[in-house]
Amino acid sequence: MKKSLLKKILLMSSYILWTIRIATIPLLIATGTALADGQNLRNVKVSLKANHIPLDEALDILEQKTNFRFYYYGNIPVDKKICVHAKSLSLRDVLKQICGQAHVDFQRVDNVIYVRKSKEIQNTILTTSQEESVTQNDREITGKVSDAKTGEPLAGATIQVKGTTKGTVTDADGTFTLSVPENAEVLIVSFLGYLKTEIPLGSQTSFEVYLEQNSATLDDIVVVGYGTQKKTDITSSIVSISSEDLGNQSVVSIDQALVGKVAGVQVIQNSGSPSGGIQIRVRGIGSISAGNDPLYVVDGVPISRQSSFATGANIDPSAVGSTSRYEQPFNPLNTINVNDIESIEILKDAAAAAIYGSRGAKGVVLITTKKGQLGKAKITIDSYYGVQKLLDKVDVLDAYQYAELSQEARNTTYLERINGADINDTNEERLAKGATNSMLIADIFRPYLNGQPGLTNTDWQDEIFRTAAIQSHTLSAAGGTDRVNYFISANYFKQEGILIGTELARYSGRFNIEVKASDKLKFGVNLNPSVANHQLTNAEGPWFDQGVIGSALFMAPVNKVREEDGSFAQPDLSSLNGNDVNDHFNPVAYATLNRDELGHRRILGNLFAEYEIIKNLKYRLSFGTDINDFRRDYFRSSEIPFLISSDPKATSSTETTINWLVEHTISYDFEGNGHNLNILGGFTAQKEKIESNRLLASNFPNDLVTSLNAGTVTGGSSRLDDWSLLSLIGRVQYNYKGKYFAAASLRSDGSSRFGSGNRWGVFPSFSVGWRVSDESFLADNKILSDLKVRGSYGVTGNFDIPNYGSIGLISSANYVTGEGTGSIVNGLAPITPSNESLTWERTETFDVGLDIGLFEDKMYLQADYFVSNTSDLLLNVPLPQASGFSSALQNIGKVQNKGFELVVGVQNKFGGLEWDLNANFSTIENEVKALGVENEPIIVNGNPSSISWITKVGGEIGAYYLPIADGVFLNQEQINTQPHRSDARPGDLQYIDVNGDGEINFANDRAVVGSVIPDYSFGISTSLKYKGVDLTISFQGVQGFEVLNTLRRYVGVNESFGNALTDVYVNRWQSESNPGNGQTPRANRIQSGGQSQISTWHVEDGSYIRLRNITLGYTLPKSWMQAVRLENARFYLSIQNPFQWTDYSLYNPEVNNRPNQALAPGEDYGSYPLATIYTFGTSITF
Amino acid sequence: MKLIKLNHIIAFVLIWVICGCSDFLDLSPQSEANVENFYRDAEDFENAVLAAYSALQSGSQYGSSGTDEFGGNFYAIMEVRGDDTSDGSLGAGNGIATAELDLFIESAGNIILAQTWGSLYQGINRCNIVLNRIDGVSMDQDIRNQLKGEVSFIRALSYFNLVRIWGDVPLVLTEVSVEDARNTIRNPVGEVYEAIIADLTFAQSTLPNFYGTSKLGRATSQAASALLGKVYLTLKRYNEASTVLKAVINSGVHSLLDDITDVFAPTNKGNNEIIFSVRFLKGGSGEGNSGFGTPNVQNLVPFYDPNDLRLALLDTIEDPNSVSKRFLRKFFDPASSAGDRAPDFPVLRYADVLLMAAEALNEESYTPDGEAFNYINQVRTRAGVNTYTSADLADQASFREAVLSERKIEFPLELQRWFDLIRTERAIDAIGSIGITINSNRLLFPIPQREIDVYNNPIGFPQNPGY
Repeated sequence: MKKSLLKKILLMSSYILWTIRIATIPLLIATGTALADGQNLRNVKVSLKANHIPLDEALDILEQKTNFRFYYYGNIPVDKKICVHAKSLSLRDVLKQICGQAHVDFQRVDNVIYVRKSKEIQNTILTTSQEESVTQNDREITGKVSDAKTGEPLAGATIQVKGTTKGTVTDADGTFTLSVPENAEVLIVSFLGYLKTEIPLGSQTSFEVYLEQNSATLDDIVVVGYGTQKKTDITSSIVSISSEDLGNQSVVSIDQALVGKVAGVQVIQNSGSPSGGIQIRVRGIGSISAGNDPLYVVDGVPISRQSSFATGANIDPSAVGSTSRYEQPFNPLNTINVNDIESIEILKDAAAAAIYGSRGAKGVVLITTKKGQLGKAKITIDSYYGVQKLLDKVDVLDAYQYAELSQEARNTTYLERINGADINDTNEERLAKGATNSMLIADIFRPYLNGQPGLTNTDWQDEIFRTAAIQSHTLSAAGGTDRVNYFISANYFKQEGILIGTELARYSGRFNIEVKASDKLKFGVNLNPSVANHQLTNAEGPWFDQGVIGSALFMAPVNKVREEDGSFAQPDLSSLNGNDVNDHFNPVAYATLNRDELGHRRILGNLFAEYEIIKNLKYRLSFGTDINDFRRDYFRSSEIPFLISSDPKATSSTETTINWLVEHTISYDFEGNGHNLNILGGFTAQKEKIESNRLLASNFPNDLVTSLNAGTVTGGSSRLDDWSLLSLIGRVQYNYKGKYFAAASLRSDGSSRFGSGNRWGVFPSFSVGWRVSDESFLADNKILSDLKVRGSYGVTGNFDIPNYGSIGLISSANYVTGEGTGSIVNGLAPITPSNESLTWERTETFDVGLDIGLFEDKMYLQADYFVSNTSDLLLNVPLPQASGFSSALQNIGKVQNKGFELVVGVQNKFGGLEWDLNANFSTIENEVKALGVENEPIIVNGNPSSISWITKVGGEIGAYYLPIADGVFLNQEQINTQPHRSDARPGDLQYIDVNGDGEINFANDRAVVGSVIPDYSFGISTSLKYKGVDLTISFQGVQGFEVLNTLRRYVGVNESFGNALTDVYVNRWQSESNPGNGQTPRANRIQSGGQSQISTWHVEDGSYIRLRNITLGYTLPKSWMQAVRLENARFYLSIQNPFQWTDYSLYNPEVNNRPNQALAPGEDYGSYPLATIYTFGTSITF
Repeated sequence: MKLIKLNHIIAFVLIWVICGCSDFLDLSPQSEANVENFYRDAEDFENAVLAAYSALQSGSQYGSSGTDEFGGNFYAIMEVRGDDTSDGSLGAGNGIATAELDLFIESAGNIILAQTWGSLYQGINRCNIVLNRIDGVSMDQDIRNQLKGEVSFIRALSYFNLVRIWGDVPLVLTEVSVEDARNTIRNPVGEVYEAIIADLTFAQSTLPNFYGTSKLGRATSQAASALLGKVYLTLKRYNEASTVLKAVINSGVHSLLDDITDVFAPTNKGNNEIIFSVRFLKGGSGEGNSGFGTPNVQNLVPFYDPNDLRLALLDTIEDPNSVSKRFLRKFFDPASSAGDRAPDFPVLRYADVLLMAAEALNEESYTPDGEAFNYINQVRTRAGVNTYTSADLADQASFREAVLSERKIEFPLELQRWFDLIRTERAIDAIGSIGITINSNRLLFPIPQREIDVYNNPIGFPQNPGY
């Protein structure tokens, strides 16, 4: 009883001490009562002459002579007489003498020395340099721990006496002192990122320990859902990327840095806009209408991406004057500072992702941010500044070429369509013979045709693109003690877009703090507030919807940007185009005059507490939240006259999403006799609420005030949505001697989105692995250092179905009753059916993999093959009308994805030169297996409506379904002998008679002519390090996919309605004797032969190889840095996207104008190009 | 002790959260009305019942839609199909589909048939929802019965139309899920009629004879009886037909107006001769009716006595505010704007009851100068033409002929003719007399191809023969 009381007092007092220490560590020196700097039992010298005095008296004397205070309780033999003769002896030695005589032990915590009966000291807590104990039978050892390669001392390395919990950590100089029990035999020295070493103690008392750095592949810890796992133990398909692997890339969000890094993960950068436009596709496309984005989890919080807002269209179309504004969707990752990221894990197969259940089917991206490490505070400044330029300009005609093309085209039309036409006729003569405007030579062209120099010759690309600045500055502080670790950072990021009128400025902070309140209780916070301000413009739409880039490519170079008075010029349409199309407009004016701003404020983070109930049994409570607040203001200037009236219009919209998450998990680790077992169980609840408002105003008197109050509010709308998810999770991971592995997980999800009849889903997974290389028959093998085979199976879901898809909606159905004419009475009736069984899309994945390490893992190889079958695809299915409805959202349809992934790498040292090479390669095959009830193909039309995509059983999702153009008719004879459009002439495109009926009928003569799904993609990156110099080069490529270049309908047909691609102009058919390349249509102002039809003439091979990044860095030598008291300093030059090899005729082959429509992908109407970015950066740590 | 406390907390939190489960996951749209937060009180059901009436207004049923002023789908199926009427504006809207029906060349892909099938079942679904859910809500018992009676009437009317157009049709009498709908089959005509009779019998007993002024136009007990009479007559159950129809006559609730033109006048809606009509309202309310077509009824004129007061209803009237310009006087109402006019459509009126009663009594047994003569003569007297005696109509057959002829000239454009021809088995001859030879399979319309495709069940859901 007494004993336990004592324990409690001791325990409690040490709690108090810890608490004080947490608050005062940096102030320790400043406070008078505290210990002087660096004082410990060894360096405090005392003189004491004691002859047979009681113990308590002796301690009193020592208290007076030193700054230490002795604490003890009554059952200490205080009356025991002791004898000590010491002259300037260390206090430690003095106490040691006392130990033996009084049979007590001492334990110092800060400036307090606890006195206890011998062998009662409970050294359960890892002692640090601030704690030491003196016991009767121990002996003291000292030592130093250093990096085996650099010889640098390692601060914070752990030294532990094997078989006990007794230990310490090294101080800033890498040195340690430890009292070890007499019977201790072995020391274990360990440090994160280094190989653990065991040292026999013997009689030695001083040790020099050198730790080998842990090579990349072994013993790394990988974050998995709801926990971590040793990389070597993994039996599913997980890719882990550390912050180092990502290198110094000037990117706003982490996903951009992943391009080409991961086998089986296609990171599609379909826009170069600072504000977004990136898609991650993990192992292909598995859904038709429920979204294909992976689940993003930041520090354990699955984040919100419900918002259709951000750069997704949320402007009233009537205000923009555009029916189909092409906008890239919100990128949920662009508020997270890349510098804050510790690692990214991508869970590719179902065995890994099944722990995320109904959200795992599209893969899971786990993002872990940095934590403070034990040791003194490290202050780091990461800064870069750079300039960005257009990667590749599109080659279009200059004004003189354009005038020539235009004359030829107009003459062609005139000669072909007017009887008695002569090429030398004047405009008056042409009109007299019945010519229309399109057959005249516009006056504006005459000086060009005469070769007069110095005329307006606008390069519209130069006008809309600019050399733009990019900069990022991060200040972070990281550090920790045994009780607290922290990582705090602040970041300012600003990127001007290379397109005028686009910009992103972001301010973000991060607070990651973890507190070990006791040896059992730990709690912490990860918090990431951010503010981002986007300036946007309608960059990517079709020119007729005022897309700036498409317009600039199409705008005739004979037009001026500005009038003499500085106002924006608008082209003289009547003389130039000679027809009634009047929606060309000045893209510079559009991008400059209109205001389109998006503000995004976000708080993303979580609070957690972890309690060790009994040894190795931990309970964790986590509360996460993701709060997003968007506001978008759009004002259309009165100086933009086209398409809609020049009345200024404005919209202002806001959206708030509040997402919260509570997780309870319990985990248990068991280790013994070679069995390693980890068990996890948990319960989570998550809910999100989305509120949005939009107001529309017009009748602005002028452009001076652009906020809504200056006009008249003419309309508005408001919306409220929510969803919730409840889950139970469980997982067991087992291995025997690190050789045989097995894991199983199970998640059960219930979601408000699922129909009440199908509300809960169960998502199991199993995986097994065998490390063959650890078997005895391979033990002596010199070549093979690692060989593991693994296999997995799992079920995951896709819960991105509409929030209330299962619930029928009610709409008004009024009637008339009453005397006389009667009056309206309100009726309400369902307009969509309820579907109680509406549920998640279900994906089953099989994965087999092989991990090989050769020559002590200097070479490694990882290969995976997977087959993933998605069923219960969400489709709008026709219903028997006896149900009261004509169609319903239902889970019908199947898609299969299968692929092969290979990663090979080399890491080697040649003297001082370190070389590292990593290459990845992956293939994907996509096949629709079933659709709807009758397997009817789904055909989606675009704009113009002659674009079509088909999704049919046996084919890929969203394949292009178009007529096949097969060169041009070289002469009349070819036309006469082949199926043709009735008005076809030599020089017009000829089409293949797909159905063989002898006629060219575009509706019937269509075929599948390509898709955005590539044959294979790859990435290669290599780095060299020699002394302080490092060089990294990475390539990335995607091969075997097609782009539907719809802009080619305008710039690729020599119609001279607007500007044309130079290539198309040069290779055009001109006459039978001069047929160009035989593929390219002739110049003709009014198209014939069905050429306005979108066909394979507009489909291009998108294959590309891109030099993604070159970085050259230099780290200052240690000796220099010590001189200026720096811990680390690195300078680097980096070039991103310097080269791109592709046959694609516009900017970026990875374009996708409709990222949210899996059925209509890959279209280009003038996409936002990628930039080449030159940056200079520094990273300095104090 | 500490441990215990912590366990308590965990247990408490778990229990609290798990108990909250059911509510936590039950979310429903907040920006849209929906089936989860609707159908909760008497007022909701009032709205739901009015929505069932609203289905009848559809251009796919008794209404007409769009500014093309086409007469609507029932007009095409029940009127233009017959021998008396062809449509004068075939070019517009559903014109081609109407022409196919007129000329008996329609295929299963005919859009009018698909629309009408869908609209009728949409209305039936609205009735089923009310009947399914109303008993679970507390409200005044009389109101509940009245609402149930009303939707029973509308459902019976809808099935009566379905079964007469297509024969065997899926008999859906409860709300069905998406899956259950797929498993429905074409139920035999007999089963459908049984359901119709049950609904009407129920409506008869629960509905009032009158409504207060604001509810005027909703289905009454008399409407249910009159429709039930028509159902029995169609089924050749003459005794039951005459009984129920005579009850309507003897109740004295409805009567003939003195002047036939007053019956249809837009200024005289809800008059005493109307037993049930589908109501419309013009003036931009969205409740208008674009009119009942621009029919060509010239074939019909020779059948009238020159003194017949009903002849005037076939005069054409010009409407300057209209696309089609010329309309028959019968349902004419000047448009407030193109396509927006408000003639009610009379589904059941007293003259129909009199003629049906006469027909039923005659089929039971011919009685010289009996009640049947009385009924037909009331209609003729009002029209200003001579009355019949047993000297004119000496036997059952000639009386039968006279009733059918009377219906022909009493009800043009009232969607009676085609089903009168079917009921009296004269259709093939009558269509033959206008120069079109048809097979008996054309007495039923083809099941819409869309439905055949969706069911894909040739046994349970076959196409009608010959299509």
